[in-house]
Amino acid sequence: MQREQVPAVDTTSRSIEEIATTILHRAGLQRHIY
Amino acid sequence: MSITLHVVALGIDPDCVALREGLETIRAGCTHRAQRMGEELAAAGIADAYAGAMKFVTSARLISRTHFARFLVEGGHARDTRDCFRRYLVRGKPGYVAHAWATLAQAIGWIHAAGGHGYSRIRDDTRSTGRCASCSPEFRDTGGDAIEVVSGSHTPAQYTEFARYARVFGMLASSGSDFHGPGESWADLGDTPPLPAGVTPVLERLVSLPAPRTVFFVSDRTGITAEMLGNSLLSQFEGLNFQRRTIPFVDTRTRSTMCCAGSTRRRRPRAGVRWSSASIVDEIMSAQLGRANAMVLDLFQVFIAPLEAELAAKSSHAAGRSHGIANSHEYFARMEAINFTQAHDDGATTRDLAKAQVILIGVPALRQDRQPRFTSRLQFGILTANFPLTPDDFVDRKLPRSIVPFRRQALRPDHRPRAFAADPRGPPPGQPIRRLSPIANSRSAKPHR
Repeated sequence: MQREQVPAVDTTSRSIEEIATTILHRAGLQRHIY
Repeated sequence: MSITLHVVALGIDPDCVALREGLETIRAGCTHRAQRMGEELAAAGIADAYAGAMKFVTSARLISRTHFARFLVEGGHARDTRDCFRRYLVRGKPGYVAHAWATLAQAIGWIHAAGGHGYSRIRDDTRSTGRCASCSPEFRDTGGDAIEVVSGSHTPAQYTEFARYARVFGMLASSGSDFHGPGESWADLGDTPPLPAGVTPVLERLVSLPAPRTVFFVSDRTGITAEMLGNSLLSQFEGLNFQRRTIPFVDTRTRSTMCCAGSTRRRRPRAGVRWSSASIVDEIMSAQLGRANAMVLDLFQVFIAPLEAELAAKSSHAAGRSHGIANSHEYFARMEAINFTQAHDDGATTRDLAKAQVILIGVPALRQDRQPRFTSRLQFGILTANFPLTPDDFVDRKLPRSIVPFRRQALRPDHRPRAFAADPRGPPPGQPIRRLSPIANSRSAKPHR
């Protein structure tokens, strides 16, 4: 993954919500709360 | 083969609706099973077993195998109840009828719903099977709080083994005689040895916990907003136990009146006040709820007035703005995102991958158990694709060809889609490894590579 330069997230000690929020934050995506 | 565990709930609210409804389904099944047991025993030459067992029943809805055993012993078909179970009432014997008990997740869920500190005490037939199914990760992960370390059906060696298990995994310990009646049990009352040292007795924790408080989330629409904000507030009180109940669609004054009446009729919990988190737009209904037999925090009215003052504008006072279909463009965009994510889950297709805003590559720790929940969390209108890596991808040490174009785009910060993967470097020193190995993904379907 590093060689392919794909961004990575350590998921080991994070909750589902923390992982999802991390990805959206780093991708610059806006979460739409409905 | 499935394993049956006996789970005992302690410190529960007996009025809990979820618990009562769950138990009702089991009790209804018990009666049906007993009738079938009577038929099976009749086929084996023992007539009127159901009627005979009913003579030993104190509650007609709780007839069990033990009552049949007493009838059979009385009729001379077995020496004692243990002999009776061996000959007639266990799997493979003529009087045995399987029963659809609750799943472990259901049972633990009911217990926790009935007060949040429903400790489960377990007993399984360790003497005959030589293993303790309750000492399984499933029981722990499902939320089981305690294991029965000492029991009339355990051996002394198992006391030590189960005590060690309780200490290692931080579970509470219980002790029980497994007494069913004089002369019927492994141990008589008073013969049970004390718990081994170093374990925390479940009763000790039980008496130190406060009684549960009932919390209603009342809303004129779905209740999702009230639940989210209310649960965030409750999470700040870790030492307390809450029994949560959501009452959605309280959108007429009649329903709000009924809601108040229902709150008043319910038996007041031991701890005193009940607490209600309301999200009601209509001011009259909101005022009605304020007169309920509860402390009421109106999440809507608390914030609207200061916001109106700050923004110098009147709010629309319209219900269903957050989770309704009022904004059709956003609503259908969300539906499209859900459809897209379902269609692109598990590498099912590479069509339209260019539309994806996030592509999950590999993520072995999220595969299988956490992936669906993860995807749903990411489902706030985000077009998400999930592309699993399998062992053959690691042989080539290259990304699958269908992903490569999007990897390049991902490197440009102002362009979408972006690709993310679980960190392949592993956890920091000292952290347990929870992720699955890539080998675990070998059965993943990826028809379009």
